[in-house]
Parts: sequence; C-alpha cells; structure tokens
Amino acid sequence: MIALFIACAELPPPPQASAEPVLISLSAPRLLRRISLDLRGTLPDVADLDTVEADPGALDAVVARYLDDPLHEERLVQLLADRWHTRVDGFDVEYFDYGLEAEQEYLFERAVGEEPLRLAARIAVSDRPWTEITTTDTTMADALLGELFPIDYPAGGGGWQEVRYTDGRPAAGVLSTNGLWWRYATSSFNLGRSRAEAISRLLTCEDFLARPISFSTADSGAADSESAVREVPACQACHASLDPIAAATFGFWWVEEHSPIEIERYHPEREPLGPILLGVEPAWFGTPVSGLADLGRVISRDDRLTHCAVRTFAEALWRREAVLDDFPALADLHETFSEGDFRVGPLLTAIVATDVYRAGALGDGADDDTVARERTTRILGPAQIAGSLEALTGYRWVEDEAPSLDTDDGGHRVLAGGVDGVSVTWPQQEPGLTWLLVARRAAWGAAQLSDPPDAQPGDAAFTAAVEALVWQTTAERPDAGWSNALGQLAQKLEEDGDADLAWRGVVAAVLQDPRFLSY
Amino acid sequence: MRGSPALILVACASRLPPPEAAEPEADTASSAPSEESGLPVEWSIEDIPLQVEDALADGLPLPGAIRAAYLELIAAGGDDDCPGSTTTLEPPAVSLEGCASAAGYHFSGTATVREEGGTGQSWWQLSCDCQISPPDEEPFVGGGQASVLITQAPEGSAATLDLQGSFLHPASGGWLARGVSSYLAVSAGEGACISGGLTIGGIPLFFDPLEFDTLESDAGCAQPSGRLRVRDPSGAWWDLDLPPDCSGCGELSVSGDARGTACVDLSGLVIDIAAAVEAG
Repeated sequence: MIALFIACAELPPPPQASAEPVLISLSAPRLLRRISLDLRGTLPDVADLDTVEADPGALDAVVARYLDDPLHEERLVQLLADRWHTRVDGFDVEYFDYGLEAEQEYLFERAVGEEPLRLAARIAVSDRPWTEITTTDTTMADALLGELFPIDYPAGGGGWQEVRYTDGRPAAGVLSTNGLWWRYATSSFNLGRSRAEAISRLLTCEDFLARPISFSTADSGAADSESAVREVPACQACHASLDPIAAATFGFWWVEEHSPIEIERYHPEREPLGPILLGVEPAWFGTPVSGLADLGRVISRDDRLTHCAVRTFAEALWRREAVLDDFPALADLHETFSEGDFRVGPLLTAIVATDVYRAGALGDGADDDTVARERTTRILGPAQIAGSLEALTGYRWVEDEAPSLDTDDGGHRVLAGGVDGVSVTWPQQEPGLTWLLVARRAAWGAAQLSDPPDAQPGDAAFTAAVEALVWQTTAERPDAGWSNALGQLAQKLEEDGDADLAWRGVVAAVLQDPRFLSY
Repeated sequence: MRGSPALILVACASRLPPPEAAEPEADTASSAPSEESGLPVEWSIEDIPLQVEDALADGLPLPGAIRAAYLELIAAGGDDDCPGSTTTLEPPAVSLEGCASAAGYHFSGTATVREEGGTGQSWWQLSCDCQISPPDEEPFVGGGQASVLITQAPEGSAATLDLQGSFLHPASGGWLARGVSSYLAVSAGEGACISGGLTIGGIPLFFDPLEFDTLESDAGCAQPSGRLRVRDPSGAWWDLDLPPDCSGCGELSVSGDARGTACVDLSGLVIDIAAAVEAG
C-alpha cells in the first residue's frame, strides 16, 4: 500500500521543453486544498474549489478569507506546537493534584500546554505585531485554567480568553506563561539553563545544543561543574550567553516541582536568586536586562525574533527544514514581514505564494539536492486527518474522553505522524505503516457516519455523488478509470449488503486513497 | 528541586561578592543597561516603609508555625487508616487521589516530618507537597520544606532556620493565613542573619542579607544592618541599605539610582527569631 501511495501521489507531468521550471506548481484546486489544510487544518469548501477551478486568480481572495477563519487560530496552535513542544501528555503536576477526575486529564494537559501557543496564535490572528509575544501583559486561558491558575478569568466565562495573571509576574508574553515553564522545567543543578536554551531556540532559532563543543579542551581540571562553566573557555562558549538569560528566570524557580501551589504561582522574591546562584547578572547576549520583563522587551527588539518567526512558519508550511539555499527566499519573506509591521497574516500569505510551497512536482531540471529536499507531496498529519473527517462526516475518534489523534496517552498521535513534544519533535514526513493503519481506521470510522445519497449504485445520481465526494475530498475530478473502479466497488458491496454499505464502502475507499491522504 | 544549594549560597556567613557581569559577546557588549532597561517604579519613597510594615505585620515567617499547623491538623482529623501516621502522608494510606478520615478530613499528597536529637545537636524537617482539608474549613496547602537545626556548644547555641516553598493555612491566622512564598534562611547565635526572600500579601521582600548584632531585643542595637530589597509592582527592586548605626534608616535606590532616605522599624524581627530559636 505504501508503495502504491508513493506511486500514485502527485506524479510529475510528462517532461516538457527545456524551459520547464524546476518546481512545478500544483493545480489551483489542489493548491487551495493544500492551503486550507495548512492554514485551517481541514479541507476547503466545495464552493471555493469550484471558484478557483473556474478562475485560478480567485485563489488570493480565498486565502485572505481563510486567514480570518476561526479555524486558522486553531491551526496556528497546532503548527506552533510542532515547534514549541508544549502539548505534552504530562507535567510534573498532574490532574489529580488538583482533584480533577481522570476524564479531565486530557483537557487539563492541553489547557496547560496550549497556553503559550494560544497566546502567540491570538497575537497573530489579532493582527498584532509578532514582537508582542514577549512583551504583552496578557495570556490565554480556558475555563479550566481560570479555576486553577491565579488569573482574572471572567466568572461565568467560557472558552479561551485573553486574560491576565494576578500574582505579580512580569509582563513578558509567552515568557511569563505557566505552560511554557511547566514544559521546560529546571532543577537545582541546571539552574534555569535549560529554560534559557529553550528561550533562545524557540524564539530566535539560536540553538545552543547545536553548537560544537570540544570536550577535550573543556577538561581543564576545574574544581566542579559550576566552576567549569564560568572558567573553561569551551564551556563559556555557550554559558557566557546562556547563564545570564537563565538568571532572569528565577521567579519561576520552584522548591517543589510536584506541588501545585509552588508551580502555578510566580515567586517574585526569588528573582534575586538568579544572579546569586549563577554568579552573573541577567543579560540577553551581552545586553544587560533588569529582569524578565526587560528580557522580553529586549528580545522583542532583537531582529532574530522576527527572522526566527519567518523560518519557523516557512519550515512549518514547507514541511522541511530551511537550508542555505533558502536564505534569499527567507530574506524576502522577512522583508514582507517587516513591511507588514510583523503581522503574521501577511507573512503566511507570502509563504504560501512561494514556489517551494506551491510545488507539486519537480521538473526534469531538478538536481539531486532539490529532489532530496523538496516536499512536493506531504502526508496529512493527525490534526489534519481529524479536522477533515470531522468536517466531512462529524466523525470524532474519541477514547477515554480524549481525541485519539491528539494524544499518545491511550491514543495514536505519534502513530499517525504527529509530534508528542518529548520523544518525537518533528512531524512525520513519509508514509509509514502505523500512519497508514491509523488513517485506515479513521477512514472506516468516518465512513460509518457518512449519509448515503438517495440512489443505488449504478444510478447516475449515485455516480454523481461519488464524483462530488472525490472532488470535495481530493480536489481532483475523477477520471473514467477512477470512477469506474469506485462504481464497481459500490456494486460489489451492494451485492454483499445493501446500498448504504455500498456508499460507506466507497467513502472509506476514497478516504484511504493517497490523493486524500496526501496534499 | 529538593536539596537545593541555594541557601548555602545566600547565607550570611558566606555572602557572595557582587556577581560578575555577564561575559559580553564580541562587539555587541554593553556595560550600560539596555535602552529599555530601568522600569519606572509605581511606589514612592514614602510607600516603602509602609509596604515593609504591611508585609511583616504578622511577624517574620519561620518554620515552626508551619510544622505546628501541619501536625495539629493530623492530630485533629487523622486516624489509623487515614493518613495512618501522626507525622507522615504517604502511600498506600494516602493514595494519589488522597484519603478521607473518619472525622471527615481529606489528606492528599506526600509529606514527612523527620526529627533527630542528640548530644549537642537537634534538628527537624518538614517536607511537604500536601493538602489537608478539614470539613467546613479552608485547607492547609504546602509545597516545600521547613527545617530547624539547633547546635549546642559551650560558647552558646546556634540555630539555622530554613523556609523554602509556598504555604497557606487560613485557619492558622497570622502570616500563614495570608499565605507565604519563601526562600528564606535565618542563622542565629549571639546575633542573627536573615538571607533570602519571601512574599506575603503580594509584597515581595529580599534580605540581602540583614544582620542583627544581638538577639536581645532590649539590649544594644535592635535594628539590623545590611540590604533590604522591596519589589515594586513594576518589577523593579527598591534597595534600602541600612548602615550598622542602629538607626533603622538608610539610603533608598532603584537600580543603583539614589532615591532618598527611608526608615523602617525591623526590631520585631529579632524577637520572632529569638522566640523561634527558643522553641526549637
């Protein structure tokens, strides 16, 4: 099946004249489908497919509308989760520490883990500058967090709302969220350095862990590790920058990491401990800061923040890591981002207009590096599968009160190609056995909820319904061969059962088709 | 973060020299605060003594009151099945979801009280990630450690009192009723030294450190010397530098900028410390 998938998906068109581009764009409907899945996490509306099929120039207007769709905010949360890794299935404090029921475990973990993601997403969809993510005095909370955290969630309110903490923590956007620091905890030995590393990596794409270190040089006989990080040049290569960042995070220094009262609250009296324990004053890559709020402000002025945002969103939508050859394109995107006052909407609009994003096939002129690098075909991730199937049929795969495709605690998120934020930190790129098994199971589940047409296999109305289904789910008009194969399947199933079984069998087949499962 | 080295590092006897500045990177270095640094403060000079007085209105939070509240609640509401101990909360008697005693008290989390006494030295420690909920009463909630170490020597006794974590018990009254977040160490002998920080009633203080010459509140100098830091709602820290002149008055500054003079009466702290040492 996997071989079939690879064979069927997005076959490049026959070779053409030498002027053929290296990156060959998808058809307009198929491109709209990709954009909808990336920006909304679900399939495009059929009317929109019809529109861009008739007039490919209408695509831009549809994209603009999708950026205003409420689903877009949810999708941004998913995209950022793949990068920031805060949607994990467990924290040091668990649901039972708050006296919550087991059925609330998923809701608790997602509420906590999504707090920083939703703050960033809200800033993005509100057309506020991305630089606010480290300066705003607000956070995001749902009703559950409203009960648990020291925030001003409105009484009787519902859903995710932008609120404020009431425990005196500094205004530093995502840097002041419990969700970020519950995910990136520290220890009495680590002294906040892992948090400093996370700040640098997530917000500026400066990955300390990727820096080369010469351990032989580092082995200088320093008295202990704390002395070594302050004295040994090889250690200082990172720690000269890392430790001053960590020194600004000690309001989140916990005595007892499994205690709700300790880790749900900010501890301003511990701020001075950072410089004492680390032996350095707070600073951001050489620029002194007075504390966490100041750190957030200085980061917001560091253009690596916005360059990293460009890279983060480009990599998320290109579905691959950026490489050296991408730098001109990334520079252009950053210029667009800057001209748009660092609003995310214009940036995403520009990214989905890039050749890399729109590529559905490679021309004959593509060199080996391009062939190895470009993702002309992407597989649906678990959130896209779940979102599409629910929109199509209302199907939600739920086990133990949790969406099975969004958890690994009894669910199948990683098996379906997703990111758990701990062991798996990048979405699956290629079809795999477990991905296929989960997709098939989901397809069958959704097919059972699909309403059959008022027609029998072989009827023109039945055939039309099948063709409409294919168009809606794949953004392709089925050719005669495909239609005939589905028609024969329907007739066989009707012989074994009835017309309803025939329809649901066809739906299940379409939802397992590589043209549905890829984009 | 149990077993943190922090208190050793901020203890008075080994007060650190001023931290070294961050090693600057190449030519991006700057010895001056960033343009954005230097938060505008919300409080005035006159506010600082009032805030200190408010924070310490119920005395200095010290470990004994927390242990007392914890043990009293177990004694009042516990039984052989729940929590199954007069000092400890732990599985299996106290499961993840907690347990309910016949008296209607609910115990959850884990906690231990360890105590040792010997020739010349005694100590106890409460470690707690726990909640005790009496019927019809606000719960005791704790996360952290409280400990006291008393050392007897021919030349006199010495005590170390540590309070790290967050504790709240409305029924206890005083500062424990308001709730405290703390990272505090007190060492006492002939005199006393307070180092570390605490937040009470939303007012964060940091003792950087404060030293008393004597535990005798009615003899000699009852006002400490050293630096008391008070965190402004803006996030900036007010620094009150108290000279060793027993005046209780000193220079106030914010981020090194002198703002004037203020006086605070901290003589009550030494009474609290002396009482805590006496209680052991």
